[in-house]
Amino acid sequence: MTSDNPARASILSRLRSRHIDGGDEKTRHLAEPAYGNQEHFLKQLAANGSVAEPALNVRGALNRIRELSLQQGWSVKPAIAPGIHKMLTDDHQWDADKPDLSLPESVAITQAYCGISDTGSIVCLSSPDNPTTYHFLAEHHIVLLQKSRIMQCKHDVWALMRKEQMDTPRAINIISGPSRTADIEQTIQLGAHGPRSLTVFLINDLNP
Amino acid sequence: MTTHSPNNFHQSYQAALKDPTLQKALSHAQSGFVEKRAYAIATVDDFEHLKKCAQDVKQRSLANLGNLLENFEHNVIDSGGHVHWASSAQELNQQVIEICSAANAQHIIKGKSMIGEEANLNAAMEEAGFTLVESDLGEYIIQLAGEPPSHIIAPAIHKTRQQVSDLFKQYHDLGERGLDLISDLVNEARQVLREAFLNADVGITGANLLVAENGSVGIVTNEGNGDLSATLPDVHIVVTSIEKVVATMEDAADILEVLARSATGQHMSAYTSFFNGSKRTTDADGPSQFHVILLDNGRSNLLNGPFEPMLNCIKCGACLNHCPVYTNVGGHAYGWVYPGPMGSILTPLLKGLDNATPLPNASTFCGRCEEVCPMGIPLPRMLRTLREEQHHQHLDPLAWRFGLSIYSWLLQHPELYGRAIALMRGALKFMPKALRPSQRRLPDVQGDATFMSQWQKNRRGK
Repeated sequence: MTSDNPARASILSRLRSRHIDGGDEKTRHLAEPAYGNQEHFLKQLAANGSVAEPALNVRGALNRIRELSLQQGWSVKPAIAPGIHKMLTDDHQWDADKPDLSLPESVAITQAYCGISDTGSIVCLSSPDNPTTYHFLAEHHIVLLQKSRIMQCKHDVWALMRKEQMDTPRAINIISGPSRTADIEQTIQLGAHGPRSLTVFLINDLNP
Repeated sequence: MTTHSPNNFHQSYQAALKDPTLQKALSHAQSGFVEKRAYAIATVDDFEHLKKCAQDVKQRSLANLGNLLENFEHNVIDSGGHVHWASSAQELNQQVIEICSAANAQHIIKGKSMIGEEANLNAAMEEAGFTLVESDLGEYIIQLAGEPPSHIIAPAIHKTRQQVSDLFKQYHDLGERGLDLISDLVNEARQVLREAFLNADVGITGANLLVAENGSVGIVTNEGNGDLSATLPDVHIVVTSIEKVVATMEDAADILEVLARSATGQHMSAYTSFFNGSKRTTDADGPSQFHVILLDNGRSNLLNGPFEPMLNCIKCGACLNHCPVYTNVGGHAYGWVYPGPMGSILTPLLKGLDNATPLPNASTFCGRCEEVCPMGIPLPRMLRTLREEQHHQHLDPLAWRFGLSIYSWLLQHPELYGRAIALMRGALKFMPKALRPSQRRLPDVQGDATFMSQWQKNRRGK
């Protein structure tokens, strides 16, 4: 840090010498998070190029994922985020060697903290149970989202995190559709660096 | 080819207008950006209200910049990160090099960063012996081509698919594979860059937002390259500038409401991520070192002055996409990393007016830039102020100053002004087509005499 101090001091002193006042430092935190409309969420999700699937519980979702993988030619050995895996301790059919997320047709299954109806986004928080790499390295990303946790907008996500006394995680990833690029002739192409597809399972009850 | 410099704008724009490949590439921008933005804005309830909220956030942040930066620094350190301050581009480059050297890094993967472009970081890194690969597809293409970006969010907008295909053939080991479709090109880059991500020792990204209340760095991308650069390597370095800090996550959300809609016409880009400090002890992934370098490079001098609104800029590129000058000449004509209306102001402010003399004149003053700017930056007004400044500093061309002084003298002598206009009218009427300027359409002479002489005649007749 010490080598940086001269620049720090001179930048801060220039900023301070040019201030008219100290500015308004009032915090703008919302008191109560507002929940969003599921229909609108699904509409925006589809507009982002994501696919929605219903499921009763985690086991139901995983069975459907197996069907989907066979239909689509995806890997049938998905990388399941540790947090989801923990819920299935009595079910050994999902045990696997750690699958390679960078293989063609690889599938990663992670858990969403909540959804955002305004923009059809899902919010994933990093933790040992939900590593960030899983959201980005696989060819196909599947997210389990509890149906009752669709918030209205980004502000409501922050309010929910505060209400649930979440510490700031290392990474908050707001994901709105599969990876894409329009860098060549402004033509949208899915699967630039991240997943080529995003499937969101709306789950009634986030229990096994 | 003309030298890449803002002061060569006149030669560069003329070459750009005559370049058929560039003109073809630029034609995609119109439908790509302008129509998508219009659609996104038409499908939200009240975009004007969202703009107002975002502008309020910036105003409050700039009025409190010093405190917010100190809070941000405190919270980054609290979450296991480091904050470095750089007065100049050279200082920023030096700090990046020091961090990479200390980490014994060799391979570096980089996400898109306009601050990196402003500092010419890639050249400095290469000179210091590091292998740096750009991971944003557009940036990767121009890195292979050895060119600067021509658009702040679509750096390779000036390239056609054929040109990209030729570059990949030249630099990749393709064997017999052809790359005719855009999907082939994107897949090819995905394969090559995936290797670079997995081998990288250090990831460098820019930042769209810095949040003081928790020390988070907000990064918006569509490709996911920023997230991979921030997650896979053991060291993550964020290169950013001081005006990007806001107080709260709510403030950040207000700016995000207008950013993607103005930039790409999406309600949200595919990936909006907030990174906070280094890997936690129980985490399975994430960098063990997290560094943020805050660049000033002349920005603090703009506070509380006539050009302060330029610090509101969130680099969405809407002013470029709607500018009749930019959309015809492309970004390289502007001679530095920031093109279009925002570049015509920011370049003279950061590099000096004498190093970018033609840029404040690269505008028709049609006003579309201000109209589409989500942050309400009065771009035409500032261009006008720069023109005045230029005149006061005697930076405008001698012929122009001479012409202006004649015009000003004539305006003070109405009788002579009338005669001069009548003379000009005659000259214009009989001027051969070949002598008329090619870039400007002069109106055909109308009626039998000048307006003033007809006015006088009609008055006498009454």
